[in-house]
Amino acid sequence: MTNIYYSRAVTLAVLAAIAFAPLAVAQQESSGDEPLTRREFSKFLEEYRQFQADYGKLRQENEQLRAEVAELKDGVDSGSREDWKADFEAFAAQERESILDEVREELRDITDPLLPGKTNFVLGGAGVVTFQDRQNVDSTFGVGIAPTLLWKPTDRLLLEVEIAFGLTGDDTFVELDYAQVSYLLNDYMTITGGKFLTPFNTFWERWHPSWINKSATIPLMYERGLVGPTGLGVQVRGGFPIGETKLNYAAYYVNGPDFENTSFGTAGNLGFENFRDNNNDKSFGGRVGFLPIPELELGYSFLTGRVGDSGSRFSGVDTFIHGIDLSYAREFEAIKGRLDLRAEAIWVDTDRAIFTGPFDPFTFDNKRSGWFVQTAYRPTLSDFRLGDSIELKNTEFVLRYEQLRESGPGTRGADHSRLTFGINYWIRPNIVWKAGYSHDNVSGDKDENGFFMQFAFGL
Amino acid sequence: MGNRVLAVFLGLAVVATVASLTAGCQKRQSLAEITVTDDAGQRETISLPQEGRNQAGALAWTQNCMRCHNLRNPNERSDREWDVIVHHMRVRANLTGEEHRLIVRFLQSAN
Ligand code: HEC
Repeated sequence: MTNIYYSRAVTLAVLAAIAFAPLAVAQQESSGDEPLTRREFSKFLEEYRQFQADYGKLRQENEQLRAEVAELKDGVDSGSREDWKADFEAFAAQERESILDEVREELRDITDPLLPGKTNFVLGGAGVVTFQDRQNVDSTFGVGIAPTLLWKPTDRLLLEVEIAFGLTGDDTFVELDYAQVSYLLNDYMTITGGKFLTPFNTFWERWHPSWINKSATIPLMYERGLVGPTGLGVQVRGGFPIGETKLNYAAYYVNGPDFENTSFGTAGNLGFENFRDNNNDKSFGGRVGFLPIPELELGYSFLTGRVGDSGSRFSGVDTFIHGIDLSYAREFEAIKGRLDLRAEAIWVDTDRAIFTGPFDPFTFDNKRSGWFVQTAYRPTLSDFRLGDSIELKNTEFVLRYEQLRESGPGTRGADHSRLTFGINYWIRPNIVWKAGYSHDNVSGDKDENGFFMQFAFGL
Repeated sequence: MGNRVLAVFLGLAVVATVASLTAGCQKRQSLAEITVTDDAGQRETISLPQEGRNQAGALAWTQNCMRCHNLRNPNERSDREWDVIVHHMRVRANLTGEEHRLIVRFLQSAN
């Protein structure tokens, strides 16, 4: 039995050994099941101690690094960073300031002349080239350029100068058209002094520049000097509303006209270039304009004063001139365009005088008068065009009828009437080509029918 | 001659006023837009402000600035130049201070 048990036990042991053999092999391979030898253990211990020492060292180093990093971080947040920032900012500010200084300087060059209280200039003016061919007169070209300088040194002050360059006969002329200083007193009143365009009717002051005048010629009564273009003196003017209507006024005190008495051809006429007054009396004049609706203005003007040379036989000669004017401009849908109507009349009444000289003494009732009506029509609402560049809406048709009655001996007393027809082509609002024909009728004297071409521009 | 001329003037004034007033009924005085020529000679249409602070300026501009000559294009001049020119025109045309300020402001906004 014992043998049986023994053999069974051996069999079991062999089986178990077979069954667990892989496990046992695996265990043996990983770490080994055998107990450590002393030598091995002491080696391990030594290594462990080494590790511990290294670890302690590393920890210490780590601690130290952490402290350093923390310190650096602190430094960046506060002290050193602040310093760096301040340095940078100071540098940037300096740089910025120097750049700004440069820019400011350049800007000042541009803006300084434009600031109120500083020089403030604008160039205006006009230029004109004319060709005229009148009956009984040789045809001729003409040219005139008149720059205007406007200078507004303060918000209330305005200085205006216009100088005309041109040709008359064989000569070049340079003329001071006007030179005036005006001061805005309040919203309704301006005072002016100097040589200014005369606010008598509207022609000289408002539409004599050739880019404004719709005709190539000037009205007969101004050509013959019933009233001259300028006066030298002082003036108050302005305008104010009255309900829906408007009133404007100008009153002036000037050297006034002088009296021509030396030549047969012009004796009795008034001269308007009286810059060194020929007498102690100044002339007084004014104009009132009324606008019942914005597009219509009616005006009344007068000018009166002593005209004879002081200390001469004519020292008591006075004149009284008055005039009326009308202007109307409006666009009408019904006629597809703009209508511009201007009409003026002047009556001159100068005292009777006896003229003597290298001619027989003569006298006459010294009255002169003239008037005109001018209409212009421009089809501003028309779309018609001829080719690419010619548009009907830039074309303007002008018709002016005028009469002049002068007094004097012989043909000087002739009545003169004139009908002028013109066509204008407006390249810009201030640049125009004009062509025109005027038909004269002079009683008892030669007519001066004429053909005109003109190119005019305004600045 | 005096009476005949006076009669012509009065006749013209009456006809003009009547024409304006009857035409005014068909077309409102305050325009919505206006055509001007620009620097290159091209036509340009400017819409006029119908409200806001420049409306009165636009109206004053169209009512006053084409009375004597053609309406000049706002683009022709800079703000500073308009300041001087409208001052010049105020004196020339007897405009009020109010009209002057309104027109300057309008031209400076429209150039
Ligand atoms: C009463 C008539 C009149 C009215 C109204 C008028 N102008 Fe003028 N304008 C003139 C005359 C005349 C000139 C030419 C001035 C000169 O050369 O002496 C002129 C010149 C100009 C010029 C050329 C530059 C200069 O100042 O000389 C401009 C631009 C101008 N006007 C714009 C305007 C504007 C904008 C308005 C509206 C506020 C206006 N005008 C209203 C008569 C007028």
